[in-house]
Amino acid sequence: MFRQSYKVQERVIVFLFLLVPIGLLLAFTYYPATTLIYNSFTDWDGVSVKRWIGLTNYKQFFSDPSYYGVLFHNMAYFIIGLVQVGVALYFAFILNQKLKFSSTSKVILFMPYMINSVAVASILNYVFDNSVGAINVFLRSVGLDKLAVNWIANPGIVNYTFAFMSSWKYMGLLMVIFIGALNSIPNDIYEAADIDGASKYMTFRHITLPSIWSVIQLNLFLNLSGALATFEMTFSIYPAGSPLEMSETFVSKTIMSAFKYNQYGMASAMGVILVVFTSALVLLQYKIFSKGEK
Amino acid sequence: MKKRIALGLALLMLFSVMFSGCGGQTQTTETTANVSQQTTAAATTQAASTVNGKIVFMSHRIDLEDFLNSAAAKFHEKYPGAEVEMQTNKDYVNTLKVRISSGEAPDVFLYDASMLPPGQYLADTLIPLDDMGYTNETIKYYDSPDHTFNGKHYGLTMAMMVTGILAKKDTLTSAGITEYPKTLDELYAVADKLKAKGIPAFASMVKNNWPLNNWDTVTDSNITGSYDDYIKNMVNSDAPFTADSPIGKTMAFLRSMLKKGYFDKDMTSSDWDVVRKQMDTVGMLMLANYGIGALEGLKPDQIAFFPLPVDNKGTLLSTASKDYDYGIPKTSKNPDTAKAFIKFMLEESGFADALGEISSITDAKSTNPALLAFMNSNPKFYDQTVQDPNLQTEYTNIVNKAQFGNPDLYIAALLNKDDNLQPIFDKYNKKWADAKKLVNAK
Repeated sequence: MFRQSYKVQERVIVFLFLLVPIGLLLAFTYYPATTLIYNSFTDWDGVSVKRWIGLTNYKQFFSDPSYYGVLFHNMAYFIIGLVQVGVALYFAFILNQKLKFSSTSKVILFMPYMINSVAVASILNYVFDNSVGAINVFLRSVGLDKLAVNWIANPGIVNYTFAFMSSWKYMGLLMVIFIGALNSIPNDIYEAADIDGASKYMTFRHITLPSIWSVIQLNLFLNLSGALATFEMTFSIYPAGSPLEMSETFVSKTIMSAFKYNQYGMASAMGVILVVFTSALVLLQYKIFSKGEK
Repeated sequence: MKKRIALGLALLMLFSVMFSGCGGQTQTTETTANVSQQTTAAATTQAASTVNGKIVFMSHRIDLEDFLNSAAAKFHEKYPGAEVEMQTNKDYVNTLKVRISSGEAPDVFLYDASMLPPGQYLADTLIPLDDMGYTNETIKYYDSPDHTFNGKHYGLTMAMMVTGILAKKDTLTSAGITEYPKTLDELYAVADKLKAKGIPAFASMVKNNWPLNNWDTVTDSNITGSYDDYIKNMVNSDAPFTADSPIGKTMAFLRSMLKKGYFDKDMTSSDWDVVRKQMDTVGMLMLANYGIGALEGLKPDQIAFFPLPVDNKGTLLSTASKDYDYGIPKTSKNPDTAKAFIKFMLEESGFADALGEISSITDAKSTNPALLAFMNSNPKFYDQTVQDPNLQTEYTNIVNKAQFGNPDLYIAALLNKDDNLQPIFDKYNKKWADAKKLVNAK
């Protein structure tokens, strides 16, 4: 074998080295993905034989409000996420200037991101508790009893509460990304604008925003895909499923279908739907926002 | 030179990957050959010499780790050549399912019909336990359709569960309660006394969802006819949930208790895992005997456990059902040790007493004072077991497809904004009908 030409030997070595990573890729990525798509056309219950049922799972998803209705819960996360992007940009802009405590503030605002989601959910669960939580106790003590609603048990509010918890955790990450982007804008442009007598607002709107437009798009993408895939908050606080399914998100509903009710076929279909849905929405968001690119 | 080393390494990696796959397979074929040899050799008595090696017992009782470890030590004393590793898991059901399907099941584990559906699958996954010498007379639920197939028994019930009301004795006595209630009116009187003391008469435990299964006792008291007929009606009906149905009556009962102020204020935060550690903060829990071992810091003689009065004629009702079954998978390498372990756990370990449950061994006498008091009050037992396995499977399939259980209905009734439960009935009837259609579509 060593008498073969150099070219052949090279090809053999490359082939052999590629075997292991490609093997792993096929085993752990492509095989499960293909099985998932196959399972979505069956009504597998996790143990018995898989029975092909065609598009029934998909039809059931789009016709049964207990399935597609959870997307409205996800919407709460998306809306609060948009606010979160704005807040992150605001903090990034302020803390990027040379203020006294900007470094300390950056660290404090980033720290929640390093805390595990389950821990965040546990901590904030106590803060939002209806009777003894810090928020309601404070509101009642200043006389704002009307505002002291049941943050976690009121079906109309609970999703926004969980979305806020999620945003509280991830805001630091978005802020840090923005700070990096802001630092990449060269200073001469600002100086030129200053010389020309531009106001702070005009500087922001015409210089800063366009320069970091692609990063804003990135953060909006993170927000959208995060809002569709979120589940940690509702799963940590209601691991057995929320009462009346009031705070189930798409992914937590998928988990309940699979592991509580043995509907693996349905859950696989939901997994496929999530991928398609996320891709479609991200593409749509990209098209909308790239029109704003100057 | 470098090329040769590189090539050699690549070949080595390639071959090691290939052979690691092969090794696993030969192991399993060896084990199945071993198991079939041992079961065909009719061994009626477990010779101590075959009880050796290490086995793994996995269970969901993370609250009984200390007891399990001391039981493991006793087992090792009895069979010095054998050793059992106790594993407990909070996410027991999911972990078990994954381990079974990947061939790594523990040598002995606990299961029920929702984890391992009865039928051919059971016979393919577990080994038969007929040679352990039990009969219908010596152990309860021996012929249960949950673990019987084609005349062979693939499981032994670990203990029996009975529903009832749990409370801390001190809490009751300090509220001025001297006797356990024998009628509904007496129950309301007890609840009023607790309410007067400022603690909720009943902890609803809505957050965990599963504890509300125990209110099925009220539903059972409303069922006329056999349980199989009741389930058959549900399976054949497109709108089984009505105000007159047994479940509907329970929902109305719960609402009447809610309006009397007997439940805790913040029901969705009511958590069993919190309440069981703080039994001073609540009055009664509608639970079952498995809670006796789980109330932290309370010994059985400090726990009050009594059956639920369901009317004013003195009927005390308790729903009896089987707890999990012991099973040994075909992939176990020490099935003899596993069988000896199950026998030990059933007869000698005092596991049922530690669980606070009634032992499945018919002649066993409970040493648990709370259980003794419960049995002495002579409750009527309702057996919530479906005798026809096909009916059970169909019912379970519809329930799983519809993705809700009885607790969801009870919770919906409790959290409803007014007494009009019809919207709840409509919603769940629709889910039931849709699920029925999907399950029956062949």
